[in-house]
Amino acid sequence: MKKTIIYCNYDTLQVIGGDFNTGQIHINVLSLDYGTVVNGVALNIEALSSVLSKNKHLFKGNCYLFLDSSNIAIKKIEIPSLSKKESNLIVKNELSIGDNQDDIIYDANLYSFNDQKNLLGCAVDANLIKSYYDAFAMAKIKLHKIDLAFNAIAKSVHANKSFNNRTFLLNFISGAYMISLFFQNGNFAIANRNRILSSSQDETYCEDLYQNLSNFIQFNVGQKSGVEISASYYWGLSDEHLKLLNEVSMSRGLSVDILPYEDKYMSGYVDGMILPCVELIDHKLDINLLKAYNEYQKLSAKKLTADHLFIAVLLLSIGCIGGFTGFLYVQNKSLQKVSDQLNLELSEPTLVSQYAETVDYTTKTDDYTIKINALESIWAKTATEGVYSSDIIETIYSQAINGIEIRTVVYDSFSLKIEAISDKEDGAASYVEYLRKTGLFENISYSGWQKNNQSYELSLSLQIKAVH
Amino acid sequence: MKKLTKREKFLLFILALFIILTVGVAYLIVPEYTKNKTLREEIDTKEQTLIMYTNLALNTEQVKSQFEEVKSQFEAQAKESYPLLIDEDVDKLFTGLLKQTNVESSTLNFSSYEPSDFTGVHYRTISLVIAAESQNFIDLVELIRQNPNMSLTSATSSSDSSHYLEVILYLMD
Repeated sequence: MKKTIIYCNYDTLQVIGGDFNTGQIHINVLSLDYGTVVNGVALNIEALSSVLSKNKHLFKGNCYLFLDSSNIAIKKIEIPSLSKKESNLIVKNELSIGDNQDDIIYDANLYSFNDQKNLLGCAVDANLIKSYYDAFAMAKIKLHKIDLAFNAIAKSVHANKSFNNRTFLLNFISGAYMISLFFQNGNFAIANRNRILSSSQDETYCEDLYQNLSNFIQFNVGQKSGVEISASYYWGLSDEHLKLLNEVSMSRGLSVDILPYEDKYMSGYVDGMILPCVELIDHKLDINLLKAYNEYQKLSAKKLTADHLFIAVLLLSIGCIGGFTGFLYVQNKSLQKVSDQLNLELSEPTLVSQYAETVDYTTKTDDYTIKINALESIWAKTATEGVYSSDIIETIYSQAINGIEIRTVVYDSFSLKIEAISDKEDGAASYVEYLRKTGLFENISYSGWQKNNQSYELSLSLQIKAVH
Repeated sequence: MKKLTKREKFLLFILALFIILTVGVAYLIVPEYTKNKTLREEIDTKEQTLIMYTNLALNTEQVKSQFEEVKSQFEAQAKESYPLLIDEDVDKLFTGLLKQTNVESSTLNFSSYEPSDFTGVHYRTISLVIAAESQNFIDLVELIRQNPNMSLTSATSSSDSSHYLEVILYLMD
């Protein structure tokens, strides 16, 4: 079955495809624009995707992407028997970095080596995987698996019986970059990346390589494993440099064999390659960052629900405010039109003049009505008050024949005061009796007479009845 | 950039919601709502005014005819009332009454205008000291009593045929 291995670290995209069972493979190194991928991180997804699209024919069968970046933390731990979930928790505890742990994807390769359970864990920023995921998706190339270059090499070495129980260093050099994997008793122990400061033309080039070897020797001594590094294998190093490095090593008294790394598929194919054709070993408890990324996306989608809810509430608030404001705005426009129309109708000349005329007539009518009412009130008042009439006066003065002489009559608003004299002592009483009998008066007050010479003086007060 | 914690996100959400609601309500909804309310009130007022205008305009002829009716009624009544008579006219009025009843007067006084309790009506108080036989006095009193614009408020008669009268004369504006 055809498979494709993809590796990308700096400026080049290395694609190895074909049938690995028959050995019919093709190797391609695709150049990337400067800055497209830096330190294994795809910074320009569009550029990477473009290169992938143009060379889509190279990606056949299951596509394996191997990541290699100093941004990926890895650690090997010897563990008791654990499930994949438990192992991921251990990896998370061991490799927790920074505050932003939500966006870190943890995965591990659980494998047994010489009856010992081992865990090769890694912590990768989700965005690093996302950049490749998106680039391949844009190029419409379906990835089968995303793994780590270190893990792939380690699995390859573990599967190679010639490395069994050996303690050695495996170095891969491409230009100024070098990655080194250290195996203790045939088991992967540690790996690192280096930039070789000297040029391959410099005399100090082999010194730099030796320094790296020396660091691992010291690490091994520090580990107190009881075994010494027996060999250091190099991929991508010329025979001349191998020879020089061997001389340097021997001159420093090291008994480490400096050997070239042979790859069964890629013999003689070195330039530009940093990852050799690895054994594609898959097992259930292996690292699969593609699967881990898909699970991360599902979890992120759930986490996003709360954010979405917040955003939805905010948008809903904005929508409600905007909608209500819009509704009011439209209604105000409509009301303004109605108001303007009413203004026009109210300022219609005929209506205005008719209204003014009617109001004028109404005002004048009201004025006249007030005057009429006032006049009628006055007339009613004078009619009511006009009780001092000829009848009253004639009645008061009519008793002269009975010996009554009226001296003074004082009228003041219904009240009368009469002073008179009588020529007889019973004349006064007769006069009062007469007045009472006429029915024209009321409240007649008479207090008697007083004799003066031959006459009798009398004084009385009375009121004229209102209804007269 | 540091990723926000849940608490920070929640606080940020509350702050954003508060700002959105405050700004939205204060600067968008309230002005539009106020304008809406003002326009509705304006329209209500204008509609009422238009109805009033229309009703009044439709009734112009009726109001005019009512006006004419009231006016003629007033004019008819006005003939039986006095306008605001100036001093000499008051003198002439009462002197005429005295002459009409053959009464001699020794004193005729009148006050200045004073407003009455009725709108548009003023009055003047006239004092008369007269010498009159009984029948002439009665004629004068009756003449005053029958005049709807005059009211005899006070009268004093003595046995020597002298009389003091106080009359209120009502005058229309």
